[in-house]
Amino acid sequence: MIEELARYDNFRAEVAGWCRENVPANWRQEQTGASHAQYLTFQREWRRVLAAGGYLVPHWPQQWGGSDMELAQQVVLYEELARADAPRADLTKVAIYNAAPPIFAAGNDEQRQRFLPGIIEQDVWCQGFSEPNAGSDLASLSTKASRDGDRYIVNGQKIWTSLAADADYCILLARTDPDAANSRGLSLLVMDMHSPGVEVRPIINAIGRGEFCETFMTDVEIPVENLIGDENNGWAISQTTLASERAVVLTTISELVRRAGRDHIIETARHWTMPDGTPSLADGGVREQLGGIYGEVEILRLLLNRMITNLLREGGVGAESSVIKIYYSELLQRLMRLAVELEGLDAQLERPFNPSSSQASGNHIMDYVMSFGWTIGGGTNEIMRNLVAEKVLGLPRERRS
Amino acid sequence: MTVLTHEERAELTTSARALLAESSGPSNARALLDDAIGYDPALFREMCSLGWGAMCLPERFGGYGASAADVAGVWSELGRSLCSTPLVESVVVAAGVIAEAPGADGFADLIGALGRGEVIATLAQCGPAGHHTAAGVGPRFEKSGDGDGVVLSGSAHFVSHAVVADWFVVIARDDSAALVCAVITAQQAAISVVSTPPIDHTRRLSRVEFDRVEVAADSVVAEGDDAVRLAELALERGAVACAHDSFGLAEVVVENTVDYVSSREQFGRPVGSFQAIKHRLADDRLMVEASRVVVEESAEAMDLEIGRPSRTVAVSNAKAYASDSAVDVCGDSIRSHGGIGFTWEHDAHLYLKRAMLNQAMFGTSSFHRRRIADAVLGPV
Repeated sequence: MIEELARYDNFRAEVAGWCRENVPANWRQEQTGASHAQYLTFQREWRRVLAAGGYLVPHWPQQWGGSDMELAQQVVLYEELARADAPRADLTKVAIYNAAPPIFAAGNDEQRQRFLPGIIEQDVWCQGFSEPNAGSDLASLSTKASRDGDRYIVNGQKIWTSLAADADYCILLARTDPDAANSRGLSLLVMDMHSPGVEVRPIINAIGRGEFCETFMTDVEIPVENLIGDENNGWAISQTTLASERAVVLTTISELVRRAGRDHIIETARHWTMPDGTPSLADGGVREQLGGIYGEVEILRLLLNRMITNLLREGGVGAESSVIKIYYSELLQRLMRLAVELEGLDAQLERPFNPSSSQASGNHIMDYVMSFGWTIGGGTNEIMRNLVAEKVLGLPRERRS
Repeated sequence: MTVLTHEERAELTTSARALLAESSGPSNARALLDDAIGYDPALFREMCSLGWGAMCLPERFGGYGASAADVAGVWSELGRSLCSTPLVESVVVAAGVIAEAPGADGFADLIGALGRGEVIATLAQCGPAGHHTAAGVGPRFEKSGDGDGVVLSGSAHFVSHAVVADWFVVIARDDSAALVCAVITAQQAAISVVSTPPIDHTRRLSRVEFDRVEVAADSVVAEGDDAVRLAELALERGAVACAHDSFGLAEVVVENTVDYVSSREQFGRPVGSFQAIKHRLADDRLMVEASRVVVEESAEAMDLEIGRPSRTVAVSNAKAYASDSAVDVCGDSIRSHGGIGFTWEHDAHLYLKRAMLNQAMFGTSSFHRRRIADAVLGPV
C-alpha cells in the first residue's frame, strides 16, 4: 500500500461510484468476437464517456482539457478503473502516451492548439518509428524527410504501426540529415495519414488479427509547421516518455494481470478436473503451481508500488520501469502458459476473441500467444536486459562491430 | 507496533551494515569453520546491547515493542555478512515465541535475559523429516508413569545452536496427539545433544535427544490450540527472518559478481561486456529487486493478526521467492566467475550453502507455495 495515496480516499470512492454508473455492464461478452467496425464503435463511445468524466487525459494541464491531476491521484484513478474492470482505452493509447508528450515537451502552442483538442474528441494517432531494418536498432532508421521550401518530402516505410489503418495522424521519426549518422539526423514530424502518398497495409499477427500495419510513404508532403521541436533533434524529443506516464500504464497492466488474468484463472480453475476425475484445485501439485504464481503476481504489484513511491518521494526513477517491463511480460507468459496446461485440451479450441481486452481476455491460449507481443514490443526484453545491465549495474557496453 | 520512522529504520540498517562489515563476513566465517560454538560471543553481546534482538520483544519483558518492519533490515544484513550469531534463532524466534505464550509471565526474567543476549534459547521441534508442521513434530510428551508427572521423549532434529543453548523451547505431541510447548533447561543429564553439522559453514545444527526428561508443570507455556498457534508463529518469524537473510546475501552476491565481471578480461575486453553475462546479471538483479519488495511486505504483514490470509500469503511468498532467488543468484555467481568460482578459496560457495539452508529451514518453498494456495483457495 502506497502511503501517499491515502489522502485520495474520497476521490477513490468517487471514481468507484462513477464506474458503477458508466462502465458498460457486459462489455467483455459484447466485445468477444467483435468485428473491427464494432470494436471501433465501442472504443469511440468509451473514449467519449471517459472524456466526459474527465478521466481521459486527467494529467494534462487544465488549459488543454485536463485537470492537472498529480501522479498519486492518477494512480488511484487507474487502480479504481481496473478494479471495476473498465475497458482499456485502446484507440487513444498512442495519441496520449506517444504523441502528446513530445507535443507538450517540445512543440509550440500553435501545434498544441491544432492537435491536442482532437486527441480528446475524435482523432486516432499511430506512431511511425520502427522500420523493417530498424527495430531494436531504431536509430539506424532510413525513412527520409527532405526539406523543400515550406514542406518536407517524405519517402520510406514504417512497420508495426499499431492503429495505422484507422489513424488520422502519425507521430513520425524520419531522417532529415542524411549525412548525420544514426540518431543525430532524425526529426519528429506530425504526418496527416490522409495525405496523398500514404499507403497502409495491415499485418496479420500470430493470432490472426490485423492489429498493426506497414505504412509506406511515397513523396508525402508534410508542412514545416508540423515539425516538433528543432530539426535533427527528434531522437531526444522522442525519448520523452515521462516516468509518471509509464507508472500509470504499468498500474493498469499490473491490475489487469492480477484481476482479469490471475484471479479469473483461479475462478475458472474451480471447474477443472484431474485425469482421475478429482477437482484440479484439490491436487497438491496444482495448488503449488497456483500458489507460486499467485505470489509472483503479488510481487508485480509490490515492484510497481516501490517504483511509484520512489517517483512520488524523489521525483525520479532508475531503470525500475525496465525491470518491471521484463518482469510483468514474462510473468504474463508463464501465467497464461500454466493456465493453458492446467485447462487441458479444451484450452486448445478456437474461440472468439475480445479485441478490447488487452493482456487478459479470458481466452488463455490467445493471451499466451499474444504475450510474445508484450515481451517484444516497447523494447524487447533482450534490450531491456541490456539496459538494466548497463544503466543499473554499470556493466560496459558491447563494442559495435 | 511500529516505533521507527522510515529514516530511523534506514539508519538502523546502515549502522548494522557498518558493524557487521567490521566483525562478520567471509573471512570471519572461514575463521569460525572449526570453532566449537561457531560464532563470536562478543559480537552477539554487542548486537544485543544495541537492541537488535530486544526491539521486537514486548515492552513488559524489556523489549521495545517494535514491529518486525522496524528491525527487519538488520535481518537482511545478517545474510549479507554471513553472520553466524544466534540472534534470529534465540531472540527473534525462541524468545519471541515464549513472549506470546499464555504462560509467558512465568518466564519474564528469561525473556529479558534472552533479549539482552545473556542466555541462549532455541526451538526444538522437528522430527527427522524436518517439517515445521504439527504432523512433523518430533518430541513426545508422555505420562511419566508415577503420579501426575510428564516426561519428554523422542528427539528434535535440526536444532540451531543446541550446543550452546541454555534453554530449549520444545514443541511436542502428547498422548492424544495435541501439541504442547514447554520451556526447559538444556543442561540436563537426560538430554543429549548430537552435533549434525550442515554444509552451510555459517550455521550449527544438532539432534537433541530427550530420555524421559522430567517436565515441571510450570514449564508448560502452552497446550492444544495455543501451542499450535505458537508453532505457527515460530514458523512465520523464522520464515520471514530467513527470507530477509536470503535477500541480503543475494544482494551482495550480485554486487560482488558485477565487480568481478567488470574487471576480469578475456578476448581483450571485460567478460561483463558480453551479452550472455549481462543478461544473466540483469536477471539476477531483477530477482534481487523482487526479493527486496517481497521481504519488505512480509515484515509489514507481521503486524496483521496471525492467520489473516494476507499475512499468510505475504510471509510464505517472501520465504519461497526470496530463498529460491538467492540460490539462483548464488548459482549464477559461480557460473559468472568461471573456474575460480568453483574453488574452496573463493567465497561463492559460502553464500550458496547459506542460501540453500535458508531454503530448507522453516518450511521449504514447495510447502510455502502450498500454504499460499491454502490461504487463497481455502483448504482442500
